[in-house]
Amino acid sequence: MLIDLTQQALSDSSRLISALGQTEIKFKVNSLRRLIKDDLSRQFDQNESDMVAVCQRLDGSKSGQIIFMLPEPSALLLIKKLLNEKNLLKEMTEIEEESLTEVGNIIINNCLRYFVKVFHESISGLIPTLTRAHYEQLLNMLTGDSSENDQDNYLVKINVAIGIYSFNGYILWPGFLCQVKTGIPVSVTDPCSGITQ
Amino acid sequence: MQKALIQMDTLMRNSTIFDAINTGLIVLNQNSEVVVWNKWMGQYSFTPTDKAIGLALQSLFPDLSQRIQSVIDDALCLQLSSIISPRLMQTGLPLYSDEESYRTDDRILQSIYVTPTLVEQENWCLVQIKDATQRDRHETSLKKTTLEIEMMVSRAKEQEFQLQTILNNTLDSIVILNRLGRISGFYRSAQKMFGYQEHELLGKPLSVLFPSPYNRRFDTLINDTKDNQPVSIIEQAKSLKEDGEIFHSDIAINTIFEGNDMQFIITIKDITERQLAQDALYREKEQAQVTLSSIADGVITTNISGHINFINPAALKLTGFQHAELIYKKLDQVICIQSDRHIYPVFECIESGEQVDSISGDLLMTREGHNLVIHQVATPIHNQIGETIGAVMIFRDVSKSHRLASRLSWQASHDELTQLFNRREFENQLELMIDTARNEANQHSLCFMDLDKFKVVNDTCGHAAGDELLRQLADIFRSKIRDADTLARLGGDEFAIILSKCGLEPALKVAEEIRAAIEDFRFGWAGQSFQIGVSIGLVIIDANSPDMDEVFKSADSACYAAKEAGRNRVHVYRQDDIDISHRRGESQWVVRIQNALDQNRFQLNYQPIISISDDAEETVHYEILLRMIGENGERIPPGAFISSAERYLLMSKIDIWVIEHLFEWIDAYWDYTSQDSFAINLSGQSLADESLLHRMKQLFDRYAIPPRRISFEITETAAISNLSQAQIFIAELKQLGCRFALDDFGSGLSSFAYLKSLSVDYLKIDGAFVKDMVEDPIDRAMVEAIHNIGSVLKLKTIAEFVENDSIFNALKEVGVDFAQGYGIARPKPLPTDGSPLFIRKSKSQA
Repeated sequence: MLIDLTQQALSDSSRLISALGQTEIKFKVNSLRRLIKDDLSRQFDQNESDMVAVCQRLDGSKSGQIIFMLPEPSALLLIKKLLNEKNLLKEMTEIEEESLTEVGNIIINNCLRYFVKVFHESISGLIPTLTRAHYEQLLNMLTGDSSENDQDNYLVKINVAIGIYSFNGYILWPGFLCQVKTGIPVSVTDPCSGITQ
Repeated sequence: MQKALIQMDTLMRNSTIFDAINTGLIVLNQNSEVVVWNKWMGQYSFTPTDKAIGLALQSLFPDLSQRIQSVIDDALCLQLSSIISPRLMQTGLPLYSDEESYRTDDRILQSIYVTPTLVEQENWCLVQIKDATQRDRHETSLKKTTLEIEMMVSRAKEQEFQLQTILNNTLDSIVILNRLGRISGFYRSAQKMFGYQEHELLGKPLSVLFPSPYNRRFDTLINDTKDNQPVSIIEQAKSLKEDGEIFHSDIAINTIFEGNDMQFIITIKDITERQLAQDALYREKEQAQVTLSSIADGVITTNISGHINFINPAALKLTGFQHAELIYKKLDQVICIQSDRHIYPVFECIESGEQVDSISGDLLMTREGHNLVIHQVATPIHNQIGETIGAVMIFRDVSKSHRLASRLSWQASHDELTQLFNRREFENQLELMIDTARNEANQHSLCFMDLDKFKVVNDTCGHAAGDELLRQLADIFRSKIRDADTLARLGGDEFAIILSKCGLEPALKVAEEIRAAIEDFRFGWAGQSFQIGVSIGLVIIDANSPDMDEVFKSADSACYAAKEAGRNRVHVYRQDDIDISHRRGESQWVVRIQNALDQNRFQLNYQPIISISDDAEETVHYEILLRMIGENGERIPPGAFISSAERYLLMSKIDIWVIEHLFEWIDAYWDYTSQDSFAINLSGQSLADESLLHRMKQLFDRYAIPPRRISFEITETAAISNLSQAQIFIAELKQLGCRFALDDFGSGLSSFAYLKSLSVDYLKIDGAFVKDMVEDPIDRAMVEAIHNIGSVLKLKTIAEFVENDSIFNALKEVGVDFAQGYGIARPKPLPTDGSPLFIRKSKSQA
């Protein structure tokens, strides 16, 4: 169900972003895993260590961040294609970063919209920020409290397809976002393995 | 912007702060109504604050985009914060930077941030708008500049790559020195040339690449170069490889400046091959120079416009000019050459691009004004691509050979002795005259002249006298003709004249004048005076004349007719002339005689000559007589063909035929023990024929015939005509043992002095005196006289034409030694059956 919700959110995001950029972009959930923080870092490809992330701080009973991240080269490619930028610089300009932030914001907000509907009465996210960091650093931002390292986090690996290009992206959020009022964690079925947790 | 619980009054109290910030700020209540509308918003929306407060945003912005509305709803309902970036925003809020933009609806680029906030337990939202226009422009400009820089960098890198490629692949070596003169770059071509790797030379001075003294030279040059002093030097030097090999090189040293930095660019070119080529060229040039200076032919070279750029010593010598007088001058303006060509061969060959050979004997005028006959050849000089760039004129002085050739040419057409045309040239002229007579209907006359009694002078006074006589006679002939006429000596004592455009009457007059002049002329030599005559044959040349040979024969025949008629006269050739026709007939005999010789159709006959006196020897002499057997087997007497044979110089052939066949017969049928002998007639031509004499000696050897059994009869005329040859001939054969008889003695007009110079053994008395001696006392007296002469000279006499006993007895009375005639025996063919030639009757019966 979580995968469906996430996929739904990504589909909504895809439609909106495609309309804004007038370039078709598709997002697809490859996998969704619930992992403790320490296991998260093992999910990433060492070759994609430098990430560009849109982080949106969550404001509620618990704090945390929901993060949409892409490997930096993929992020540059995504935004250049989205903005139909013919003159490619090696780095994003400020406005381009803002556009990428908006993309991330759209994805995150759509995810939160579905989470709010299903799991929480209210949760607010603040204005997202764009960060360049190693994924390890970004993982630390998921929950600010180190004592909560054993808390579950959700890592969604997505596939981003724009034009002839296709690359990986990630969405992370702390586990508490997907807890219902009763506190019972929601089961998650990994679409890849079919295993339900 | 952080979400915070904001109190309404706080909002109102901070309106001044809101107005001060340089971004748009809208606060919407839960109904999406405007609660705060700061000054910036008022300015950019052209809606003042007091007009905006309390209104719904949709009222203020009717065309509010779906996106903006959606994020506002997300903030108010779901408390989600959103960002709308300028580049993804399709339609922003209607905000304008100035009135002009407002009029044209040229909205500013906007970044919109929507944040939910709780005000007095109500979900409000903050909408913050930033003008991104400038930022976007700045970014666009920056992008453009960055891209340009990147392109420049890319180009620079590409150029650097190209430069590196060039530097590493030039044939010449490139070495870079830093400002201190140390090697900072040593490219591949240099590595290859010198054998060093770059790392071995980095930091070293340039001098390591050069041997002494060049190393010091270049070190000094580099060290002395001041900062920022441009240097550009090209020199030849020797360079030094890593293995110690030294080679010739061209060195170029240049400085380049990059900002404050200075570098030296050294280019080194291996010119070993060029040097070798130059050395070889120099050697070749030296060789050529030496060769040109040594040869005897003049050599002058010019450039394309004919100006002289080289003269060899031989040319200076031949022309007589100094070098400075000719060099760089135009050839035809300094050296005068006359030729049949309308332009100098040098210019002709420059024009045509091909060799021009002038062998016609051009005349070169020397500086001293002499004319040299030269043979010149002009050859074009081409460059590597075949263009003509000049010419070479080679010439030699052929004056000597030209004079020789002229002389030979003159000699080929002239008689050396008389300076007149010779026979060959005369025949050429005669051909021309015959042609003009045909083509122009002109009439010319040909005089064929044969001197009379010339041989008397020649034989009496010697050849020198004969030559002088001919010269003097030639002068007389010249004086009687015009310039247009042609006079020639045909040979011996024969002359000819072509009287141009001269008919019969005037020609006769001229011929007669010549005849009279010659008749009146007296030649004096060694105290003696001689009178000479000339017999002239005259023939007209007109349109009807046949070819040259026929005209010549006609003239010759006419001359002969003049001779036959008594000499010292002019005979005109006429078509129906009997005498001429007789001569014509003679020419037909030539063919018959030749055929008879070839086919052995001659027959040897014999007639005995017996002694008259009772106490004379009993041996018999046999005169060998010749008969021709005609084509039909008829016997042809010698009188029919002998004159033709003499005329056409066939007598020698006939005589040798007689001798050969007689000797064959003697060898086959004759008793060598017999004392009888044979007498063979010899012509005057045979007397002059050395080959016949030689042949006869061979025959005597071959057949071993005793020479004393052979005697030869030669006519008085033949002997006189060829006196010196006759003397030699007689002497040679008499030495062998032969004997000689002088035939037809008394019939000629010769002087008796001849008899003393001819060592003959017999006198044969002309039959004309013998046959009538019984009836004619004069004839008898002649016979007696001749016999007496013979007796005095101790010669035996033989009488011919002894037709009967009366003559025989008369001869006996006179004392003549021998008799021959029909009265003794008629001529018969030599027998081949062994029968005796003659059986003599008793001496009392002739």
